[in-house]
Amino acid sequence: MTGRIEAAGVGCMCDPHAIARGLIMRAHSEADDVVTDMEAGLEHLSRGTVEYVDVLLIVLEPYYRSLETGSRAQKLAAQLGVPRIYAVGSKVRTDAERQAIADFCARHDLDLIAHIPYDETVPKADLLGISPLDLNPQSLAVQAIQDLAQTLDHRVRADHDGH
Amino acid sequence: MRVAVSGKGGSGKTTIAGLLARTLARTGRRVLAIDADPNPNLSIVLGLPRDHAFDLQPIPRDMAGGDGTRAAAPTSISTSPSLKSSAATASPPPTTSRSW
Repeated sequence: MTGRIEAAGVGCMCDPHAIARGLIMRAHSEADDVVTDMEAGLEHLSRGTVEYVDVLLIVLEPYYRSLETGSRAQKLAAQLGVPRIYAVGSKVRTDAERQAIADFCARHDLDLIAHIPYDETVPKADLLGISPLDLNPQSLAVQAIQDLAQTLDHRVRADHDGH
Repeated sequence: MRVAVSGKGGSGKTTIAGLLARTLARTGRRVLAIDADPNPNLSIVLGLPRDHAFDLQPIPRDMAGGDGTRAAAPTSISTSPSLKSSAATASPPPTTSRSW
């Protein structure tokens, strides 16, 4: 982890952002893949923390504020020159929700590459303090995220092979 | 590849990041999972035991090699013991030999 807020009203998150950026930049020589869980919201985009990533995943829930935030994230990431910006639908319960996310992405020219269904395994695992993958590897959300890993791998590899 | 996962709090961002990291690690790739959220809980999704997760410490700035905008002292991520303990690596328990 690159930082943790330990007390209310003290400190700022400048260093954690800079550390994350430096790590992402350097780790590529040591690791095959680097996966970064960004700070919730948009600050990592205004600060350029994602400057060195190949792929930004924008997680969208099927409700207005989440979609609008996603759209802002897309604009900021495009300004930073992030080469691939993909949307991922999350906690999708119904076809109507799935369609709402798809429609929004189509209107905003967002490349939607996966839907992760709502899955009770995730909150159950969270309550137990364990990974959903260890609670139920067959669960729908776990399976969908495993498929997403494959999709990403294929897309990035296809781009590299094409160059 | 270098992937960043962005979203609102509670969107499923951490679940997606953690499970992506573990899925990629299962194929034998060396995966570095970085928790850049100031409310960090990626380690739980990665499958670290809770007491280990609470012991994780943030990476000091000098160890991470600065902010990427200037030349920094060489930092070997794979051999730095402190970094190893603070960066949760995404090898699932069955493939701990892949941890570094």
